[in-house]
Amino acid sequence: MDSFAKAVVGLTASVLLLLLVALPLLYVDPPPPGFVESFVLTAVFGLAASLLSLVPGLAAAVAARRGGAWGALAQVLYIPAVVPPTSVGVLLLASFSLPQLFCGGGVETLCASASFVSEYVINRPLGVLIAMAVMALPTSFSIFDGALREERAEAFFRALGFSGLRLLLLLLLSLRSATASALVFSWIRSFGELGVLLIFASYPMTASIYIYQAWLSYGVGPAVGASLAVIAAVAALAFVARRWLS
Amino acid sequence: MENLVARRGSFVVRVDRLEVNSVVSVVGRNGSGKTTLLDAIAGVIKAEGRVAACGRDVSRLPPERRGLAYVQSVPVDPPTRVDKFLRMVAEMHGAEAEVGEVVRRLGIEALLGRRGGLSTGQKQLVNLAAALLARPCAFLMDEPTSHLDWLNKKRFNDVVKALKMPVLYVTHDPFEAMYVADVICVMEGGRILRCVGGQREELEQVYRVAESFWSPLL
Repeated sequence: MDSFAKAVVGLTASVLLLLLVALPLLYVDPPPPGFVESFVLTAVFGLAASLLSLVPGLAAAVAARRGGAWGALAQVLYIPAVVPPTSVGVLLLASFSLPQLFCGGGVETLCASASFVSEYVINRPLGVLIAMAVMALPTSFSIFDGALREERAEAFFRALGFSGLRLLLLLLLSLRSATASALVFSWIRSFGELGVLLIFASYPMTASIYIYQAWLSYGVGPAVGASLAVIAAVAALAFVARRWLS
Repeated sequence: MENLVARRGSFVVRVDRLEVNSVVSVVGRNGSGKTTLLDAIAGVIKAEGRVAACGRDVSRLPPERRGLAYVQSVPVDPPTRVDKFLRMVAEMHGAEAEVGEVVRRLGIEALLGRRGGLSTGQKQLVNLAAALLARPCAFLMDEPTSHLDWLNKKRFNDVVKALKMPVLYVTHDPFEAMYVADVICVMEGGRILRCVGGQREELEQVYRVAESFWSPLL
């Protein structure tokens, strides 16, 4: 790496560390109760959502590589990454609220759906999982898309006679660095997700909601404590993942 | 294949007729259309015209049903442990009894228990083993030795020469083409300009001289 690139990296990293770690340390207070629970909850739901996003992300990347109408359709998976997360939250909320709208008209089936949605989806664990999975899709898609550009594994396995789900599973296993990257980085992404969760699934409380609530209820100090703890855990994992995967 | 027309963006590959009954090498510069030609024959990209393999027209079939094994320049990581992967491919094509023979032929016995950490050359041999176990009618090979050292390259090409099956072998290297192929076709601008017979005899002498450089390792 030449000296100019080193200087740019050094400057950027120093500014970020100053803004995100050093200066906030002056305010740090212990996080309020519930930090560990929210962290563990985020970790568990984030992992489940990341796992759920792997096959659709890979399938979309395969479709995108093949081009045509399905390739164009696959680009839809990028939508959650390019619109404001609050918009995604609002749109999910609206979609899952639709049965309630029609329930007023006296359609019994929709009333049952409305009752299921209000009981099990919005502001419920299933809602958290849906929201995180939706937000994990673009990460998974983009990582597999990049991997398939480098390696034409799909053509190889298809020529061996594999198709359908077996083809996707072989690709997941063969592109294991990409699969691990998609899993790790979409999992890490789940810690940063606030907009969608705040609107669509703020309970049970995930790490981002917890930090937001800590700031509202206790002020900057406890929220800084919780934020730094999340940064430490996630940054360490990201560092390990990058070293391991590169 | 006959009257094959394939497009990649604005680039068009047109081949009026090409018969592959032995090892046929296509040589050409970067961007001459070699990979596009193989992709079109494999069914990876759409193409007009007729591709026949195993005595039938496969032009409308997806790659997985064409019976054409496609070995590429960047070898694919085996998705599972090597022996499990080869058994999986063999079971799919009813070739379980052939696994041992293919493994011996390629000299990859030591790799069977491995999953990761294979060198590029080792991966390429495993890819070729899987391709053999898929019982294809013909092989498509896109610069399969471009990432291999000279010794692994020769080992791979010796296997290709011994296949006694139709192989369409794309390479940049005319010397490699002369070594491995019975017929060499030159491609430029998306067209096959001419095909000539290989001149193996003189080249094998050159290869023997080159091989002597590595004699302490052999």
